[in-house]
Amino acid sequence: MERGLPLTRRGRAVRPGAALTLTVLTGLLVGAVVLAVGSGAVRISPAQVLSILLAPLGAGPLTPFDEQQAAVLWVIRLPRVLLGALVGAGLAVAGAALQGLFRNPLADPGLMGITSGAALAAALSVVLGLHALGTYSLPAAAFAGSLISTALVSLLAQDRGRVNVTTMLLAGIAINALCGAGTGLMTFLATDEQLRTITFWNLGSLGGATWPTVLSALPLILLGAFGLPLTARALNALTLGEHGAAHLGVPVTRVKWLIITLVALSVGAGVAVAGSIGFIGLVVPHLLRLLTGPNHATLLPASALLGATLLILADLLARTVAAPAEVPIGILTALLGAPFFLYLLRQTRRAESA
Amino acid sequence: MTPLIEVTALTHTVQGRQLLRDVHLTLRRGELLAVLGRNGAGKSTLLRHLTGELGRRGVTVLGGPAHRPGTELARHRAALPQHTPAPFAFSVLDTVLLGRIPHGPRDTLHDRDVARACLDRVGLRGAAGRDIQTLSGGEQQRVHLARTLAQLHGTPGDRVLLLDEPTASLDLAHQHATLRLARDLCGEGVGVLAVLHDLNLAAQYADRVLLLSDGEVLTCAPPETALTSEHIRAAYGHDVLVTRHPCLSCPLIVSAG
Amino acid sequence: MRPTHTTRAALTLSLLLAAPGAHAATVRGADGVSVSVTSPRRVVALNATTVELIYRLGKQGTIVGTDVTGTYPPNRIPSVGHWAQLPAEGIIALKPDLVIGTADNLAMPANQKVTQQLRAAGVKVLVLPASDTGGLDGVRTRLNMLADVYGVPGAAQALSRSFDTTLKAAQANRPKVTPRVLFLYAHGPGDASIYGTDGGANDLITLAGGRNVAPFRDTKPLTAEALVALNPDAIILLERGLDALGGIEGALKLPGVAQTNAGRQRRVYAVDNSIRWIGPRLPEFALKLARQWNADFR
Repeated sequence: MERGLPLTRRGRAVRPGAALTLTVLTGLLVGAVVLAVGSGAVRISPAQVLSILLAPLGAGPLTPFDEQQAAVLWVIRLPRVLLGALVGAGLAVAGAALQGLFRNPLADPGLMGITSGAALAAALSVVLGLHALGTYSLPAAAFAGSLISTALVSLLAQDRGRVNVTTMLLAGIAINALCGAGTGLMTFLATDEQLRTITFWNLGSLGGATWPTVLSALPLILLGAFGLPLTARALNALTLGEHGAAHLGVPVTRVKWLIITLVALSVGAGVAVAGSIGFIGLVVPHLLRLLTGPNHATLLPASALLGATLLILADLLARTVAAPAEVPIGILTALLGAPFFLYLLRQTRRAESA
Repeated sequence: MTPLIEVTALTHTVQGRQLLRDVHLTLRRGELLAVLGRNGAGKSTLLRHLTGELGRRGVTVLGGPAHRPGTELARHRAALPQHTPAPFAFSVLDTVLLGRIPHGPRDTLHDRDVARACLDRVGLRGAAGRDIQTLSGGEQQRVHLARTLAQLHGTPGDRVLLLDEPTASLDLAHQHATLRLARDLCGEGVGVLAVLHDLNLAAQYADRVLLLSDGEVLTCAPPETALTSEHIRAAYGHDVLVTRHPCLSCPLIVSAG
Repeated sequence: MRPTHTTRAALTLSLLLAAPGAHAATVRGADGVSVSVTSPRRVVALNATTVELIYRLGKQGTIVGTDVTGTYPPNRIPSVGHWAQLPAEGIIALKPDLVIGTADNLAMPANQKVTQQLRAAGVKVLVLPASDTGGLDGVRTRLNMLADVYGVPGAAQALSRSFDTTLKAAQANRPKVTPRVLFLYAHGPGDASIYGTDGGANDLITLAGGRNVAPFRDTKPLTAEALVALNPDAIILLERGLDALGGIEGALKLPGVAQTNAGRQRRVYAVDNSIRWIGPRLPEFALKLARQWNADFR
């Protein structure tokens, strides 16, 4: 018998309920956090992890640990794992929302120019030496760049206040190309060291995670992660087309602007602090749609959970597979994401022809 | 009693072409109004004014402009387009449940019951769990009809259902089942306006027929009066013979050549 | 693992109680942070020149980690990765009692948090002055700081004197006619950058008795017009750059090269891949180049 999707037989959608899905995914996320916090180049046993975490509460240590392990846990690992969760959640939920907005399962936050605008701004800040904000100059520039390019794409796509989704796609392609050209120019003008910085930024990394970094990205990413699922019903209605959704009383234009804004803010914040990390926004919602169905009320929160989990695990791999060295995370998400995506496409095609 | 829909002197010009010219129509409670005309006569444009896609003066739907926003209107007016895209693999039941969106912030058990009942009315109860992308065009259309039923279900007061060629991809039995369903709705007080292409279906089921020709209303009257061979020749450019249906008390239109 | 408390008080106490022979010192880093060290036994030495200098001081046994550039002299020291993006936890995992890096590497945007993170984890970080500027004097400064760290002033002085000896030899071997020189960094066939007056290449050229004719400081892409206008008598490339181009023939095919004095006379010289970071071999590289130019430019 032809092997189709495990959950779909002869067109009959057999999918786990929302509650089960979200519970399982939450469990996976918790598991990933625990695993990631307990693993790394520096050896800290699980008992020591617990002791270190409980220490501020005054509890006596279950197992002795030294200050350095505590410092590694609190100052390096915890913020890094949290940042991974935030950025992964932000990217995935934004991808899911955009796939619903464009009514296309191949959409991804990069279409709106967020990443390319951030990359150009980062390159500009490096090559032109814009250091007004010290260590925060680069992320601030990247964030500003992402907002500017998204705003440009949106403005080009709008007509008397209404956003045309097809025009947005085309405008995104144009702005991406423009930003790419600008970044290319910066690469051309860069010194060797500047070039390294630009290159590594484009490969993405959670290595710069400190508590201030996490706290600066947290509000905007949570805004997206909690705000976007509120548009789930509207996104469901949008699958009937924009007029179909309007007939159901959905304020289509308002919802579109809301989604675009939330996506820009949460993905922009993530890209600003972690650089360019690809595939999460594309693969996570795509995979979940096959497993749990296209209902956005489940898909959006599930994407946030799975995105967080996957990025945490990818980062764990990045910092342990070549220890003591670290592999830039964007390489891993691409190396793992691309073949997996191809596999998903094959499964989808098999299921369709079954 | 105020009509559910009132269109007064509606004219729609696009790039010098008049798609609609001085169109008047009313839709009354419990009435099935069939809109007929050849391709390009303006039927779709007219319907788009009634659904609020095009917002012109002179179109009043349920006491207000056709394009006013909000869920209030969505509970009282439902529209079934000719084609509805299905970009994702929603289940049939979830598709029908979309019709319940104007009724509350989340889907309740009651909503699911309503959805199942509406699926039953269109004869697709067994398909509730199926993936809509796997259904045929005609079946998908019936699912969306069920969705419009779900949208109007339980709303007190006046209700309007706008159908754009609802029988286009349906087989014979389902064509009649759909129009019988429309008539049942009229019996419940819903005003139904249906763009049809089949003259005999209009003749059999409609209370009144609005014949559009080149953007103008040729006639708007009960089938016996509206569907004459002269009117049909003027509207469609084809010679027909209009006789009496042997069993049903309605006109029967056959081609004369 | 026994719990240890590395507070300042304990350190002072251990210094006071230190056995004779153990060397204690406080060295002030280029970032203004002073670091107290006592006979370091596990050192992460970042940057090629740091590794080379420690080898020259005879203390290579203390090196437990380096970055990708720490390959000379040939060794099997574990690498923590690229100098542009250093991993804090990876470095800590090597259990160093001292991390030594250079200001240029640690000032990279991706590394700015690393120093903070290391220090927050109780790891001492000594920041040496930048390794890509400062000429031979910069090398001497770093050498002396490392000598303080390891308590080997004698070895440092000996090395410093050997610099002087080699420099004198280079001076004596200088070409009679000062060649006009350009340093080209090759990316691939037909594509290169001209390096300006900042950096190790410039120091090398000057010490070997040449004149760097690049009219700018950092780097500019190579164009035929620029090269012909500057018309250098000699062109130098990194060994790996020359290999990438396919030897001298390939170098002569770079835009504009064939029309310059250097191109016509085939005066293309290869230098060690590491000259970008100014280290203890600068004098010997200068001597070698001086001798080559002495032979070619009469």
